[in-house]
Amino acid sequence: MTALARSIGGHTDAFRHDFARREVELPGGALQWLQDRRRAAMTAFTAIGVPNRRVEAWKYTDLANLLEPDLLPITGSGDADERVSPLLDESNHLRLFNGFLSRCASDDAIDIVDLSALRGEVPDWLRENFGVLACGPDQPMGAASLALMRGGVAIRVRRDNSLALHFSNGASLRPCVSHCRVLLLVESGVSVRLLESHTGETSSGSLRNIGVELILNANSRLEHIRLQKDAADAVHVTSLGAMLRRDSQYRACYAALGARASRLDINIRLTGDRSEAALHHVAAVDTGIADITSVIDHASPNTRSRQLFKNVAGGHGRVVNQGRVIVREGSVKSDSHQLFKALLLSPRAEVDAKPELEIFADDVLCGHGTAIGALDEDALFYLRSRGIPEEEAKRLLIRAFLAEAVEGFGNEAIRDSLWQELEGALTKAAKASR
Amino acid sequence: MTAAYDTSERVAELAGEKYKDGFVTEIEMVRAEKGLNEEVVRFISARKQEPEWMLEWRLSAFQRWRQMSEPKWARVHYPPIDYQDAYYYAAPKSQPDRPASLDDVDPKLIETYQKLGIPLSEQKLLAGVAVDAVFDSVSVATTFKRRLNEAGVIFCPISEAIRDYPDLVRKYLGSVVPVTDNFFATLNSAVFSDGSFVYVPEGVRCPMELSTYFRINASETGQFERTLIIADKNSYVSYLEGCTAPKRDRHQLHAAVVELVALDGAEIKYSTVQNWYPGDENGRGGIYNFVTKRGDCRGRGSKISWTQVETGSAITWKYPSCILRGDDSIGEFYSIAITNNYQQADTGTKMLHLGRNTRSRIISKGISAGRAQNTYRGLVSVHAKAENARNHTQCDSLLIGPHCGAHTVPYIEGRNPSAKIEHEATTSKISDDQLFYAMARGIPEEEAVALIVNGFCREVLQQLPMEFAVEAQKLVGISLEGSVG
Amino acid sequence: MKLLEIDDLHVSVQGKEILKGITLSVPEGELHAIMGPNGSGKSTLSYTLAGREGYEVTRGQVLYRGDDLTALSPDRRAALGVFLALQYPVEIPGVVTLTFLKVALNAQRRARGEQEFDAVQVLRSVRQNAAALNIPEDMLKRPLNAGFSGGEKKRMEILQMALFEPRLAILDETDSGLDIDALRLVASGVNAQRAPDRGILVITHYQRLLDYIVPDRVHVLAGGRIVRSGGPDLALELEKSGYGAVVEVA
Repeated sequence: MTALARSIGGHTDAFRHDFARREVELPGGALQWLQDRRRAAMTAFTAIGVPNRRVEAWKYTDLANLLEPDLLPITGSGDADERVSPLLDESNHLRLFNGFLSRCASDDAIDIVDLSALRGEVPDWLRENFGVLACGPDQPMGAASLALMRGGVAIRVRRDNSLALHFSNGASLRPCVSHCRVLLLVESGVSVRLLESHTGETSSGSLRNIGVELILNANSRLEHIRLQKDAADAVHVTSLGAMLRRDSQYRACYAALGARASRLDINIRLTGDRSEAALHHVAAVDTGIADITSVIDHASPNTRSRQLFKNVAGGHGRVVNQGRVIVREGSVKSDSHQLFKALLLSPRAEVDAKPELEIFADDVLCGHGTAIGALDEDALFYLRSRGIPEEEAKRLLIRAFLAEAVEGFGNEAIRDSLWQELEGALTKAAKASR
Repeated sequence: MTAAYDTSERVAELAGEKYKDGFVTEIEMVRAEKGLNEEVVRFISARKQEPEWMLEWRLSAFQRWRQMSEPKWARVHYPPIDYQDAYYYAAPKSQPDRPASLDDVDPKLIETYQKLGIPLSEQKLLAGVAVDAVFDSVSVATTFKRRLNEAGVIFCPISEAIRDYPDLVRKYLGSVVPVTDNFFATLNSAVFSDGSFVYVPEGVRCPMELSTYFRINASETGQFERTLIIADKNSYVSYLEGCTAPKRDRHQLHAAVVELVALDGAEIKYSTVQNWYPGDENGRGGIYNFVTKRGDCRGRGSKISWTQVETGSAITWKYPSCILRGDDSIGEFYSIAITNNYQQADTGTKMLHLGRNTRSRIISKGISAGRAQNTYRGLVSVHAKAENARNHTQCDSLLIGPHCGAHTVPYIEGRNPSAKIEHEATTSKISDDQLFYAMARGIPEEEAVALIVNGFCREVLQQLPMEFAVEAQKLVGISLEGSVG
Repeated sequence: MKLLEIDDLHVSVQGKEILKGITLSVPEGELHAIMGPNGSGKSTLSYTLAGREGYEVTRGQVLYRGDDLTALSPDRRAALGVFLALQYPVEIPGVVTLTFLKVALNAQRRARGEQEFDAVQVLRSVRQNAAALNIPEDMLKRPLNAGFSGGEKKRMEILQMALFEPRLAILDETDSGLDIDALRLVASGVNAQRAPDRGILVITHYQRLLDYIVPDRVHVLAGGRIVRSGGPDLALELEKSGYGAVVEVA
């Protein structure tokens, strides 16, 4: 057996053994419905395993080979972390440390359940909606996060609201793995803003494996702003599944600013008539891989999707943009567009893009565009001829390049804090490219 | 007046005519025994009176092939192929393996090509186009050989080139598509029968269009053509291939390999009008067209341009590609793929930018109707040393009817910060506004659709040599028959 | 016999009734103007006459030279001599204008059992008419309407009308978006085609076109009905007092 094959079998087997050995000890192990879903998830996961580059959707992010050979499962939160979110705090502020809910401040418009303490009676809304999305064979790591979940949080929002979810990880000397789940259910007619942030300490190559389920009931709105900035030696995988019911709207702005490898693996189902999803993404890296891979499934007529991904890769950084848009037979008047743009700042940086269309209905309007290149020389010259030094001119142009994807999200304070993080990452990327 | 102007009316004339090349020529054949084994490979090599090295080449490919499996990544579905249940060699009995002159060609074959619109007799030759006619596993005639010879251009069946120009063949055969490239290319390397060989010497502009006309006639027989074109320094050649086959209930395999080599400053223009039998309206029969085509822009400033009009075949699996190795080299891919009824096409290109200042352009137009599935699959890869590389890709799909599919799968890889890669794709149906407008001017619906689709394909049709643009436009209309109303 | 007779025409689009009982007739040799405010049903009327899908005749009839028109496809109507100049002529990318004109002309002739024109005959005829409308040769070689200015598109519509020689021409807001010079050019193109065996229906929002094309009759369309009919003076009255007054009086 080759070394490659051994390591692949290694992680998959380790996950499977972990499940077999501890199935009943896992949170909610006594709940039959949850056990059924976990077993199904484990089956879905083992069909693929920890994906390597031979799994088409993971062609550009060879996860199995990016992981340390042995990962120790994290079974408890340890000391709670008191660091604050880089994004502005909102009134409803939840913290997850090492994948466990550690702090929770909320008002009465929100129901919250700590998933590490699932037992006995669980509310109906949780049983109906948890463990349904981000757990199929198309999201194998999401399936693993459900099967092996140790902690996480389920949230139901009943009135217009905003909340912040901050994930952080303590320093560790050994490579660890945490499996964590989040469910957010937005009730009919409700508008929610969700701020999600990820930070972490030096991790010795730990894997953060997170599964997120977003369920938008009829006529609801969700604005999702997400900042992912892990330690440079961490591997981060978030599998996000969203279901959009009739007339609901999901708007998201994701920022990926560092890790050994980060993968945001998205699967959005537009199951209700006239539902809409708009995904914006910015990545700025100087090392490691920032991968966003989306599947948007137009499963109902008159649905609409928009995707705008902007990437800056400097140093040895690599960015991956994959997007698959499916329009099912009968989903007439579907309207979809995706645009991927990337700037390479260094001869060692790399971009890989794969925008896919899979169309089974004729009355549709679908398109995509990709543009990869360097900064516009004419614009650069123009700015310099106006007396702006080269470095500053470049920074201006890069900022302008990213701005389109960030505009219109959150409020001014949120955007300011996001920009502050972006500027930091850009400075590093520029420095690494010299 | 433009070509488009004259042909639209021919589209109209031909409306109502289904696959017109589906007839069978009754002719006595010599076949290899059914199935595939080492003996069959030896039989083919012996029939062609090949030298020992060629036989060895084939045998090693065959050994390799036995350990390989079919690629599964394309969006095409078909029942497993029984490779032992087909013939790998079939040739007309009357046909000596090396036709001495056109006078020796069996009149039945002359008549067959006549019916296909390819006159082979000297008096009626298409002016300005030299033709190599391949019938099942053998070349039956090559026209204008003498005139080409005077210019120094070699244009002959590849079996003849193996005997007459072994040094050239040995140097280049398998140098662009390695024997082990993929399952179908390896199969071809073991059992290839005929195809064309072209060599254009340094500084020569080939005085006429070269073309090969492939005809599958025998039943249960695969066709495995092999084409090799070498354009030496600062030369130019334009080559065109056409393909047809009879209507049959059973699927037939066509697994070709085409290799192009362009040296410094050379240019090769390669055009295909593929009209293999597509199967009937219920998806019965039709050709499996599994083809490997690749061009190597080996020299500085060389250029390879692929143009394809794919209207036939039950399944098309084909990705004519360019390796842009030489600095300042150029690769182009212009494609029209039309699928109707139960046809499936998975086609596209690869542009590999290795050299500095290399440029590539991709224009793909996919049209899907009936219950067909049409996929564009392409790769644009800019390597780290490809300073200032440029690519532009435009990829449009048109859907006609609610039960067909159109898919776009581009892979884009950038590893050089000075490169510029641009990709655009759209998918839509024929607009109601356009259809109404054309009909309100008196144009019947089916003709209006053909007209609008021809307009949609115009950028690609313009790339074809004049003589063939007309044929291709006609095909667009015919292929979509029955897709509206 | 009347060239066009519309009797109690009701038309629905996506289940919503837009025309609510139009009665109107155009004799040969006459030019009628239909005027009306936005949303009165002007474009619905023109699309219905040309046979666009989705315009459902729920009641009444349309007789063209004595025969019912409503069951015919758009291309059949065109072959019978009904021509609609669109308010927004459609761009057809990749289809060369000259090709389009030839295909359309010959499709009509074929449908009528007439000898088709060859390329030379078509070109001669197109050139003659193009010159009068100030349409340059290179426009004919470009894809139909693609990248044409508003004025160029409208002139192309009139060129087609001249080329096809219809018996009944319907001009839908042909004046919209034109500057004064273009308006004059288009108007003189239309006037040149008035003939004793031909009827023309000019649909417009504004009176200004009628300064150049003097109608025999003017009809006011509002709320899906003809609310008033009269001579050319009616147009001037509308110009002076606006639709509100006229509609109210009715």
